[in-house]
Amino acid sequence: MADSPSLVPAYFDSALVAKFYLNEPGREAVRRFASEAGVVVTPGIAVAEVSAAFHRKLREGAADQPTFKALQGQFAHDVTHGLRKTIGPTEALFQQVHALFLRLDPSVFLRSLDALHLVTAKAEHFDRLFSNDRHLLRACASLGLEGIDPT
Amino acid sequence: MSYMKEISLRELHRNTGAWVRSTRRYGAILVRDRNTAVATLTAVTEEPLVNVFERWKPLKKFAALLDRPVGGTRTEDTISKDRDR
Repeated sequence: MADSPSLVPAYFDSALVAKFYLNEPGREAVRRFASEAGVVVTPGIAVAEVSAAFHRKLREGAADQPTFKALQGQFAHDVTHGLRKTIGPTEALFQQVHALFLRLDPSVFLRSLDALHLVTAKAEHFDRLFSNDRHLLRACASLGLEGIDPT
Repeated sequence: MSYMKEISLRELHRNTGAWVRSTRRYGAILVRDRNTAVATLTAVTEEPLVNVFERWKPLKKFAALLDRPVGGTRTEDTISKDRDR
């Protein structure tokens, strides 16, 4: 692989990680964007969220057993081989989530896992967060992040 | 419960150089000030960034299956609903 000193790592939330694998609308845009970024950072919680999303496809009957196993197998392979840089969760990040909710404006709708995504991105010094989840994208501003949907 | 190496702020003051150098061994070290987590020391490498996606291809045994169109609830909606719970 060629060295690419100009690469700018991108922070993906779990929805984009899952979209990378699933042949549904938006997959090619996510893959193209990942290739342009070159380095993708995700929170460790993505492993749980993506695995659950794949299982939902199986439960709904949208994916058969072989497809489900292929999804989980490819995902596990990529996690093991470090396709994405996985961050936390750590106790320090959980404490930052706690601190975020302490000071959060009452008008902001923020779910616990959204908060974990936000503080993880912030802790890794990102100023942009990529997701296609509208709630998470809206909440980005509460931590001074720019939320972008690449799909 | 923490799985990270933990030290006190006082210990960091005493042996700053040694603890900073040892981050490579531990990956990350959590620093506590009177039992409150206040910082992490994280190892960094100077290895150049490499575009790992440029040559990503699905494993042969999965490639055809991964190209099957998948219906059902869109992934972003599934994950969003999970977060709502």
